[in-house]
Amino acid sequence: MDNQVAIYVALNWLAVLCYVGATIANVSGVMFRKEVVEQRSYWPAWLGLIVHSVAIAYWWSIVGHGPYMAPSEVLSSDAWITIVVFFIFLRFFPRIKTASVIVFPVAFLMIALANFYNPGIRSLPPTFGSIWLVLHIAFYKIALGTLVIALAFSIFYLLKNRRTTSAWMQRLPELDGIDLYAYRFTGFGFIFWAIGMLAGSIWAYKSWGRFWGWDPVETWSLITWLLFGIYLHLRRFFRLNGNRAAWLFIFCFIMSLVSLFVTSHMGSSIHAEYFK
Amino acid sequence: MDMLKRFFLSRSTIISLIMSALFAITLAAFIPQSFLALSDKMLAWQLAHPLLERCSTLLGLHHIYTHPLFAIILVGVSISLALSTWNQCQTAWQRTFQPKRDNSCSEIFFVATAMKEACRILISNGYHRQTAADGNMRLVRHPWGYWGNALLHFGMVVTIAASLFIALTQQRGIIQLAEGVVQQPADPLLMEEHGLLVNPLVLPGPLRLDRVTCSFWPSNAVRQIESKLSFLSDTGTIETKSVEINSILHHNGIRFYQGVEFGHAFFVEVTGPNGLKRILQLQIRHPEAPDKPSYNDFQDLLGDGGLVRAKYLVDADKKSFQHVNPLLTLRLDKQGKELGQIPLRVGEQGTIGPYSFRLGAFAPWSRLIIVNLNGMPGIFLGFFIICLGGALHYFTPPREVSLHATPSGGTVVCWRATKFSGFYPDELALLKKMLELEDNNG
Repeated sequence: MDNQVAIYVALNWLAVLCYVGATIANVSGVMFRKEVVEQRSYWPAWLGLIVHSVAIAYWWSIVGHGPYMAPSEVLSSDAWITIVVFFIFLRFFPRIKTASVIVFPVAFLMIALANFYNPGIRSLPPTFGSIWLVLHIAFYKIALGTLVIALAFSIFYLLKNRRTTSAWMQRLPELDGIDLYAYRFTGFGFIFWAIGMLAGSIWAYKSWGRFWGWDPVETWSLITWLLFGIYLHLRRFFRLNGNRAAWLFIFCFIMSLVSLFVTSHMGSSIHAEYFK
Repeated sequence: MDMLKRFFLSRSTIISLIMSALFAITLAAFIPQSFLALSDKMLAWQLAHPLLERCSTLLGLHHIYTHPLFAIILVGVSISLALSTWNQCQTAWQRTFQPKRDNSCSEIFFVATAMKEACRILISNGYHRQTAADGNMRLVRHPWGYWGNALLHFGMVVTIAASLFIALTQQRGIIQLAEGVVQQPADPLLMEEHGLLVNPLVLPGPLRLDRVTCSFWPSNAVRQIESKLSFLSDTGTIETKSVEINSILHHNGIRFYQGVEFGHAFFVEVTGPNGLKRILQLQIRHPEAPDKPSYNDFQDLLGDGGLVRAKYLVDADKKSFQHVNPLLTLRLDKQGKELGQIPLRVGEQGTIGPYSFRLGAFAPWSRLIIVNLNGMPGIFLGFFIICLGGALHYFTPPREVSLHATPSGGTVVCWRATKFSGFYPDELALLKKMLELEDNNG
């Protein structure tokens, strides 16, 4: 058992190293306008993703369930999905590539944080053996990945829309483009969040006959979803944009982190099984 | 009527309704709700926040979800969503099947290619011909994207309507039975809930729990729980079925769910100071580990205002869950003071104060959740429509092209993306390249 944990932790740290390398190369490539370095920063990122995938698959085979029980598994899989979501969107929207400046460090910070938790084996509670639970968790993770991309563009907007900006920011898309990317990726996140929430309610119905129980995690998830709904409606109907939109998004993003990681600790929640 | 419609569709009304819903739900997250919080926790909160408690009682903040104002918000949201969905459906229909001639373009350019050829190239690149008249042709890529927003909102309407229907018509309750015990239809259900339009749930006939089977992971965590039930009838027939976690049992239109709560019930014979004997059933949840006891308190069980505190180990030797040899310990508290405690195994007896206790037998018990509700297909349907609408809205925004033939034999191309046009400069550049661009004003 000790050997298995050691292998898992070592693989995770190796993935962290790869992502750190990717971040250093990527940020320096963007900041110092070195196209080749920026381009090659994806090599260690891909390598990191492969190592990371092996680590997750290895641990899955040992514990016998997906990466959604122990805090280390949750954070590690969040990081994995964030990177995968970014690569998939990058395939369709190549202009979002500068978001890597935020996405890569977020990913390695999440895995590094995961490594500080004891990865001990958690047994799967009987109600957790449902495909709807897997969909529920997967869509929340995908929503988080998309929101991290939107966060990157909101931060870029705030950085670029200052009186004095650094030269490297010229590498970023135009302000209007950055604003649009933040808006659209929030929309993606909103949809994935809704799907995650609804899949959760179906799981709850299948497991104990109640599709909504005003559990603290459910309530805060709904609050976050409504907040993103307000953000999207303010942008569409009230032409909210620029700095105010970016700050509102950052607030919503913090709320989403609270919903995902803090409310699960509330003892009265059935979701507390995660972080016990 | 139009004024009312305009009111519900005004952007200020929509944003106010969403914000009101958000405010109410956030408030409910901070103030304990009477239908959720246990009475002792509610009391503790009230003692800790006397001022808030007064406000809460005055304004009815302990039952926000059944508050008339919340109902008004919910009705407002539903009407607004429904009207907005209808409007969006009309718009989508019109854009798909009766498009108006619209001259707004984000890009207009001239190509030497003839209109017919330009049309062919566009069709081969995923555009669909929509209309053709007066030397103009209109093509759209992803025309189904027009329906994204309408479906997204329609899905929410369906989900809210289904939720409302379920809330008004659902019947549910809980029974906790020990092996061999029969639940009669007239027996009250625990935590009974029913919607405004229906009566409390009544079992169709007597129900007996025959057997509870539990399996454990090597870590002693519960792996599965199964209850075998017998449905008894007046004619003497017995129908035996089983239910386990995530495997629902259907019987006479009622759904039975296996709860995660289970343990052992102890049948204790108590002899009071007056010599009167009675048998009490003490249900205690299963311990988390063989060496850790599980506890339960029974307030005023003996009718003298005292507190009976019970704990038990599944295996008195604290070795394994497989070896069931329980050790029950009873303690009697009166006015905060311990009167005494006794350990009991099956057949043993002891005395605390004026009471004599004898452990007659024990049996496993399990919790069954009984539900009778309709309308879940509406939730599933709403879920599907939201997914579809979201995918269409965000992943396939329509791109429109108008072609206009010029006397010189070339074509004026007018291109626009209905949403997020900043995402498609590459697509436009490719289009220009394919149409052998002769950029006019770019």
